[in-house]
Amino acid sequence: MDIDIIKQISTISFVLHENLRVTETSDLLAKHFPNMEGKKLDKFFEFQRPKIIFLQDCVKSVGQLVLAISIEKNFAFRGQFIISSDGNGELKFVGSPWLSWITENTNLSLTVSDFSPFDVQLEQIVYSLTQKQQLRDLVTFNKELLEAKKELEKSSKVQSDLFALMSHEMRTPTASIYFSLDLIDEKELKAFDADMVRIARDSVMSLRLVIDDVLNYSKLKKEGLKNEPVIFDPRKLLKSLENTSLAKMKDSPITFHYYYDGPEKIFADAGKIKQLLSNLVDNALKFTGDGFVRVFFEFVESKQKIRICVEDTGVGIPNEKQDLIFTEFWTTESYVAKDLGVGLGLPICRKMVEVLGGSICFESFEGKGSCFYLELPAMAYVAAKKEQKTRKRDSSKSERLTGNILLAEDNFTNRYLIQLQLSKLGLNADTAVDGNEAIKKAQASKYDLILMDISMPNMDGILATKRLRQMGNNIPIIAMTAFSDPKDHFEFIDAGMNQVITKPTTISKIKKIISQYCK
Amino acid sequence: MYGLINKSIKDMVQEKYNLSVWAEILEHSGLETDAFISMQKYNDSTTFALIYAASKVLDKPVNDCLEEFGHYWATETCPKSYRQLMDLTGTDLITFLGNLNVLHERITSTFLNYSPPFFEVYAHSESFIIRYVSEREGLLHFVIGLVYGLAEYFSQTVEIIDCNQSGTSLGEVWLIRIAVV
Repeated sequence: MDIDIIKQISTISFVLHENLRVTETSDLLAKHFPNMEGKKLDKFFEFQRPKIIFLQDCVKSVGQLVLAISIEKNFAFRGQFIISSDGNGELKFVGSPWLSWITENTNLSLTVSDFSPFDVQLEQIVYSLTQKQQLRDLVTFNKELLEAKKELEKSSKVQSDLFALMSHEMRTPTASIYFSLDLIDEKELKAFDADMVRIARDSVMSLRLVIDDVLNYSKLKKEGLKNEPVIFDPRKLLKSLENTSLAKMKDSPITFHYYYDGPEKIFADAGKIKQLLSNLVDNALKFTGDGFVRVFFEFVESKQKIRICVEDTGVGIPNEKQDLIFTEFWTTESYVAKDLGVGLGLPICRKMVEVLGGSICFESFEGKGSCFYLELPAMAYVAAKKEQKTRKRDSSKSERLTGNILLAEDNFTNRYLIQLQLSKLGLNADTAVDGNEAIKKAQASKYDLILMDISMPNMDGILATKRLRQMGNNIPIIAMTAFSDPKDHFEFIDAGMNQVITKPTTISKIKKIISQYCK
Repeated sequence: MYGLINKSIKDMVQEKYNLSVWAEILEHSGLETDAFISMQKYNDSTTFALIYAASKVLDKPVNDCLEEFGHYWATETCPKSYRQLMDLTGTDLITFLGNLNVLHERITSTFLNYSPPFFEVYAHSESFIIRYVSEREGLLHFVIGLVYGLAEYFSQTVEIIDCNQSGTSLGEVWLIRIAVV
């Protein structure tokens, strides 16, 4: 190829003769190396790829990429050798400045016109710079997304805290309304008035369930959950579940049964198992018009697991809705259920089951009923020594009780209503407005029992109980609390309290507990 | 236009004004997102929506906004992200404008469907005439801002003497007469 043609398509070109002598340098090369013409190439450049010492090496490299750097390290070029077809044996070089090396190692100013149109080095630069910019864009977006996520989490936390605070604040007045309604003797009312009182009471009870769900959910969001296994008697847990369920289904035609097959005591998270069962049974009761609700509780020795099945003959879940039931705040419509709640019961269950390392599933047939299955890790517990049995007094036969009660409660309305309930049961009730006063009175007078509120100003019920126990006072203390979390209940028992009553409660429940201590 | 243009408008507003002004502009533009990716192609309408919204929110004529953006593009965006390319294109305003087509040709082979404007520079007695041809209408003031910005980048002073529209057969054609001091 004629060197003049090569110069038109290539900005770095020259002809190489024997002994590596250079002639016909292109304008760009001549501009930067004006004395190169007629001199040996290796006086000006050394080859990075391939290694060239003799002309023969250049001949061998024909067709290969050649990279050369000036001896003074101020210029570099890239390209290839070609052999003329005219038979004169001249080697010609076709190439361009080695842009990336020059930019990296020199301050040399090249311009776009120093690159032939077919040379793609500029495009590579465009591409590489844009890719770098693209990467910066993505890093910025990632940062913005992280900040947005933090903001969202912050606002979600504020919302959760507000939910928790509101729910907690709503519990006390809800309890007061329930106490007041519970104190009204329906037998003394006209049928219509009695119905109204019953409706109001049932509604407050439903409201309480909603508040409990929101409180549990907020707590779960705020603190997360932990597996907290304890030794417990599943029969007692199931009995307590039965009592609660029977109270809820007072006038309902449905029946409730439980079945247990396993050791006397097991080691598992009793608090969460109770709440799981309570949520599942509550749902079963809500959606069952008639028939039954049954709980099967079994310990599988070989797998060290408990299997629980909550079965009902309710309305069932339509096929198309079955994927949604564990979704937060999802509720369904039902002609059976009076109160659907806020749709947090099952999501809470699923979260708890995850924490316990178990599984939850269900099968349901529309119009026939549902069955929820739980499988949770547990261990059988064999007692090392005989446990002391607590003496229980059977007071179910007597209608009225006798005894002196100290009621520690800071809320005036609650204090008044509980006092009324106690006097209705035939009990004398003295009152204290905080933990300090409760301690003073408990040390000064003889009471059969203390009903101790937990949240009180100056000194709360937990500290007051601890102090009394430290002083050697063994008076039975029953916690009356709006805290429904079983974890809190364990804390009260650890502080030295004998039992826990969750507010709002019923007069019959108070009577049942107090009758263990007062004749 | 490619995302880098829209992103640059966003950067300019956030830098010269503040984040809430940008949020207001975005809201007025009716666009759903401002997460512009440099190498992604967006409809021209996106860019124009941002410029018109900026004009409304900043209470400035559209042409002033375009000029401000052209200046920012030449003095901030390009030097920050594409300095190496700028250096290859020229070291003074006239050389740069003269080589701009070569650069645009290279970019066209990398950014598919890229439709850059066309520039020619003629010496005309004491001044220069830039012939600017674009498929897009209404961007003359962006180019004016660009010329002022480039002169600033090269530490030169430029005066725009006049701008005359010169036919519309290829899109918008303008003859911009400048004097470099």
